Amino acid sequence: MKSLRRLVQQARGSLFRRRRETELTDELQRHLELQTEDNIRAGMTSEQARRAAVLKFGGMDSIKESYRGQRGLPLLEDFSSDLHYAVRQLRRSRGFVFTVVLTLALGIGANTALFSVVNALLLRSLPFKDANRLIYVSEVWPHEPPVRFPPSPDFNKWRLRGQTFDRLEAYGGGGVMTLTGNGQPERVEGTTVTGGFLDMLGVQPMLGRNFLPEEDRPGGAPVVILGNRFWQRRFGADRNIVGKAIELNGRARTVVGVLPGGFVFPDNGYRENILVPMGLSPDPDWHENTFALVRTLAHLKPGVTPETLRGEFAGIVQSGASQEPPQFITMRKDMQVVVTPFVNGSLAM
Amino acid sequence: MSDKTDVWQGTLALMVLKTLDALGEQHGYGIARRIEQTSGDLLSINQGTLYPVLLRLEQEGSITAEWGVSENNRRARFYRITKRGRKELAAEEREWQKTSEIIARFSALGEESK
Repeated sequence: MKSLRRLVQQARGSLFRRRRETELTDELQRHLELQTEDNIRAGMTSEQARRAAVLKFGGMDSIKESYRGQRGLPLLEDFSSDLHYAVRQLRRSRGFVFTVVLTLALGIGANTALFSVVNALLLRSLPFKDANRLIYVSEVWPHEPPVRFPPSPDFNKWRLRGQTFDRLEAYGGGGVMTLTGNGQPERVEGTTVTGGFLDMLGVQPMLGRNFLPEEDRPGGAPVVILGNRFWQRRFGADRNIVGKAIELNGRARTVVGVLPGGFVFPDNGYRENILVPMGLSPDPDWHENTFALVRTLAHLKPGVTPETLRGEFAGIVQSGASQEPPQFITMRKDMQVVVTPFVNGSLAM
Repeated sequence: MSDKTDVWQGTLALMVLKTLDALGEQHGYGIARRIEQTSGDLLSINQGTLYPVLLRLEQEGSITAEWGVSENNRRARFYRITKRGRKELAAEEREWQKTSEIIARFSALGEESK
């Protein structure tokens, strides 16, 4: 703390160098005068007094030197004089400077242009539809580390009673599934989504279709949508893949679609290999066998602010709190609903 | 003048703070004279040491300085101890007390064995 303060003062010292320099000369001069006067009072002649004072004082310049050393930041002052020197040198050889600057400018310019094209074509993620009305809903439980995934009973209650959104969709925490048949078995990353999830984001499959509502029910038809890169790598970009069955975790699932390239999940930027319907039970009560933690996205009704939705959702959770199992009531006491809007098309988390 | 002791590094800051604490506002020359007087003229304050110490204390915020008018109507830079400086002083004094106690004990050790 002490040294930080000193550093700030020293930086100031470097900036106001000239003013402080005159002040110091004044101050030392004054010191010398007072000493001389005292000497005269002690009985010396004014000549002797002056001489004695100067002798005792020591070299005025050496004092100034050591004072300067600690007043400013020598590094900063050296750098500034180096810079002045460099500018003077460059001024002398204009032709050389011109050539160098031109070369650099062309190089940087070409690089930037190329990167902008590559970025737009290959790297940028797909924009989401109405991103300014999409918000991510999470819950913070004060006694637990921050969890961004609300429990499914809350999600179901919001879906049942909420008035502030026109769609509320969820996706799972992701997981690893084993793909067998047709070549080497492989562990692939995938996630579960609710039936309307892709549709809400405005994502249309490149091949095939999105999940149907009836596929997203407990015991719904076993279907799967493939990620674009995974489809290219594992299935050689087979355009006739839709309708074929693949075996995941020992269970046959029919491929109904392939995602467009560039689709990434809004909260973590993942490109999942495989999407399957979540098949969440719509039960708003807490049962161990239907309980899940789900990442939740809402699409606001026109004119509704994220804060309004947050208030409504918090109220819904509060009103049902007494029916929760006792172990959850303690854990979720003082729980807060948190909403995160999209900024420039992606979640600001 | 040669029989006077030079002030050790580090102790001068303590003396400056203590002097300002006792005198209130004082200019550099006044501080130097006062320290010399207090020491019974055993110490001679070298200005080349005093002004850098004043600057350091000012930078650390232990003292502040302001231009004012001295007794005989002349411009001088007056130093004053700050709250932070008083805290610093108390800490330094404790530290110094401890050190001198330790030294005293070691001196006593030699005398016992005589």
